[in-house]
Amino acid sequence: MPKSKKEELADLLKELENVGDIDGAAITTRDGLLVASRLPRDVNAETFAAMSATMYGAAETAVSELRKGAVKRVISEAEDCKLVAVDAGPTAALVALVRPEANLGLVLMEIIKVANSTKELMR
Amino acid sequence: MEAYATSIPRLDELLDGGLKPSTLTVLWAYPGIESAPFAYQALMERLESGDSVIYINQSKMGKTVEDEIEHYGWSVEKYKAGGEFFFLDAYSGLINAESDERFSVKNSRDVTEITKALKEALNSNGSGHKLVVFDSLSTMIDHCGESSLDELIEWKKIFQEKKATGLFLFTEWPYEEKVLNKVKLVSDAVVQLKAIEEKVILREFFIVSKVSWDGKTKKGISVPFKIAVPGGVKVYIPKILVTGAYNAGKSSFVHSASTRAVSVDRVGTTVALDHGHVDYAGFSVDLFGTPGQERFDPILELLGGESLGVIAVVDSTNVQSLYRAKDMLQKSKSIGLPVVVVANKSNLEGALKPDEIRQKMSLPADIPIIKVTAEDLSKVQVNEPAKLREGEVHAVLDALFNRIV
Repeated sequence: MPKSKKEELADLLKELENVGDIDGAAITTRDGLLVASRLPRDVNAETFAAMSATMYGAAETAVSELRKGAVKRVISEAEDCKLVAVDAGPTAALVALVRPEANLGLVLMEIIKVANSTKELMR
Repeated sequence: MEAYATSIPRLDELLDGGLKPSTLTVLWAYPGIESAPFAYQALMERLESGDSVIYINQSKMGKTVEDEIEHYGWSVEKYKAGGEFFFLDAYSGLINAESDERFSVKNSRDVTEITKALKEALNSNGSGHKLVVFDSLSTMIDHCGESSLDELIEWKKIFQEKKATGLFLFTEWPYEEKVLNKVKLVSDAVVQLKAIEEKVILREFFIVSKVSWDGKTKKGISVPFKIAVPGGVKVYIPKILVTGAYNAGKSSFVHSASTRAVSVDRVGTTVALDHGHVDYAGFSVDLFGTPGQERFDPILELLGGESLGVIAVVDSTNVQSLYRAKDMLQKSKSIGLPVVVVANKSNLEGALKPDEIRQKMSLPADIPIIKVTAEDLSKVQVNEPAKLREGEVHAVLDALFNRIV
């Protein structure tokens, strides 16, 4: 039986978690609605998605004021994690929770790979 | 006609009160959607109202069913001990296990054995009206063959005799058309559970697609739902926009209406987003509160998409806030969506009356304008969201929900 889109998106997020140094991820629409998530239990996924989309959108708006091209990603560095939000097509963004000690180069590559698959899926 | 409520929000209304005696209702789910929580919620409601429930389990162990029910925050334990709830085990036979349930069938692949056991079970004591949950028609078709569907006519006779009600689970695997037709024909009511993809979001709906009894029933209305753990089936509205001018009280509204809310604010003004979750009247709703100041309008445009309804908060003492709210409704692309206007601070001196607000904003007559006030004016502080009166906040939510669903 072919997988539903929901299952495919869930698989993508699972794949990301298997990379290592990634504690969770969510896909959100640009306007803040949760599409899919794999997050620690105590995180409210809906709020996280809404806030991440706002963060991404605010960054885009700030950059567009400067007329310096499109935003590729937004990285928020916190004490205990890095939040990496990348473009996943015109309607969505992928946000990953990355451990602070992670090798950002490797992790970023994997995140972008999954973001591209997400983009394909949501076409 | 008497009816037995399921406590599933909106469903009872669509069925004119709930499930009817001597009938068979099918919960018709598309693959990937769980229908069992609907049955669990309905059976808990019946047990709590003093009725009895027979659960025919053919797709999983009785224990698994009990665990799942517990997962949603309910328990059948005391009803099982009291004899109001019991299983008719048609599963253990499939895996060659001994059943320790009160009723069971040895050969679960023979549907007539289930019929016999069902008769026996319905003849046993047990108070009140009897609800028979069958989990599920799909497993019956798989294990007993398509012809077993004909046996349902016999089951319906038994229901009529005993004035019992059937609630049967069914998943639409790729069956032949004639199988689907048989299921449709034999059922008195069909509640479809569907997933519809809207843009990129998968949303789940239930729709009463068939109902044979008269009364104020409503067919074909799609009700979006989500299954909360714990809590069960809720009508789900993923996004309602709360917008309005600076200092009108948007954050106050989001915080007063929500069971939990977070804000991104600096010195008392929202700079990015208020996000609140509302659990009220069987509805599960997420509120998105926008910033009010003009310099944040790009964020307003960003957040406006895909809302299902809009709450426009205005400051009744400030005419400027009315024009600004009107402007924001346009910017957030909310034209055409259900809108409710909240006239905040309506008990303050110089507050405009709803009629005056309607006229100044040139709002059509069908948009409700609802007055709200702070619970306790002496506690209202600058730069903090105020607590609004609960009854008034609920009136706003009621008005909006009625317009959305």
